[in-house]
Amino acid sequence: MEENDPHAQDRALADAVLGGAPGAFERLVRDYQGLCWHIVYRMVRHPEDARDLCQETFLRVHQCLHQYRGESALKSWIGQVAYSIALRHLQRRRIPLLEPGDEGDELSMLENIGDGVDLEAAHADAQSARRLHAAIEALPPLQRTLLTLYHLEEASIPEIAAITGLAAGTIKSHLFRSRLRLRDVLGARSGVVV
Amino acid sequence: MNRDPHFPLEDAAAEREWQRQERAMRQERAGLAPADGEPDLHAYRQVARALAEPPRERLPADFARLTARRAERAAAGLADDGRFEQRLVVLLLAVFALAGVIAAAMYGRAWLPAIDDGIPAAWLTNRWLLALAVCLGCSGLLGHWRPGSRGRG
Repeated sequence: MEENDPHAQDRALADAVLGGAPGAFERLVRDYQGLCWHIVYRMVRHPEDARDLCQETFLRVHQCLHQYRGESALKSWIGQVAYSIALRHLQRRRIPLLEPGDEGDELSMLENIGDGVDLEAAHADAQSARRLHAAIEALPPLQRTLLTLYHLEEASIPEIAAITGLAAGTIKSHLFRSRLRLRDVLGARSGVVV
Repeated sequence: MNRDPHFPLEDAAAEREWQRQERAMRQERAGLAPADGEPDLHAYRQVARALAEPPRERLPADFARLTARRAERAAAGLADDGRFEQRLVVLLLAVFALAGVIAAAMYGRAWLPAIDDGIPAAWLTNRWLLALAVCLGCSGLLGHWRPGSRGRG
């Protein structure tokens, strides 16, 4: 039966929570707190706010779990709640999700592709790793979150689309340009003009 | 595990570069030794490694237990609040009805003849009361005809 229904386990867990099974909701929180934290923390970057927003996410999940029909993965459903709560937080604080003029810099970055750029020296030492982490932190909230979902959570583009409500092509474009930009951070260290 | 579900980028060079990024990510995840002659791939592997690292800040160890307890308390509180409010409304209505009966029993003898003696007629001839009645009537009718006033949940 589970072969035909990919979300049978998710629905069983949701049913257990709704049925008031002891420890079921705690298990649900434990299973998805990592996902929630990665989305919310990458969006808001403030640890205390992120903790509060994660708690708000799971309180909302507990309150609305009866609306989960098992048509999508519970991971996507909870991710969507976390994303919308973090997004609302940024909107209330008037923090932009993307940098102005963030679109359209793809072509200029592409000029640096495959020019035989020697980046070998850039990727071994701890200093370049620190620069890279600083560059990741400096990315706009949306791009940071998309990269985290893709690389850390290993979510597919359709899963990310389900969480964020963005079109798959838009997500791919953001991932591509962000990784290009991060690669250029390593290039800049070796003196390459970017 | 994510797989590229084929949403090709518009530019062919960009699409080729995307494929390089993906190859670097796969190699990094598989822990393969870096191949010579692909410096770009090395850089992308370092990018992939950095992106796969979880944030240093973490949720507290007892987050799941505390959150579950809080959610269950909130749900129980909401249910209790609902029942309490319902009981309070019933109690208040009962007190109100009882007070009405007592007041009617105590003062009814004085009121009833006065009502019979033409208080309704006095109300009908008071223009302020008539104006009030017209206003209430108009307001009710406008509310009834307002678009979308019905069927909203």
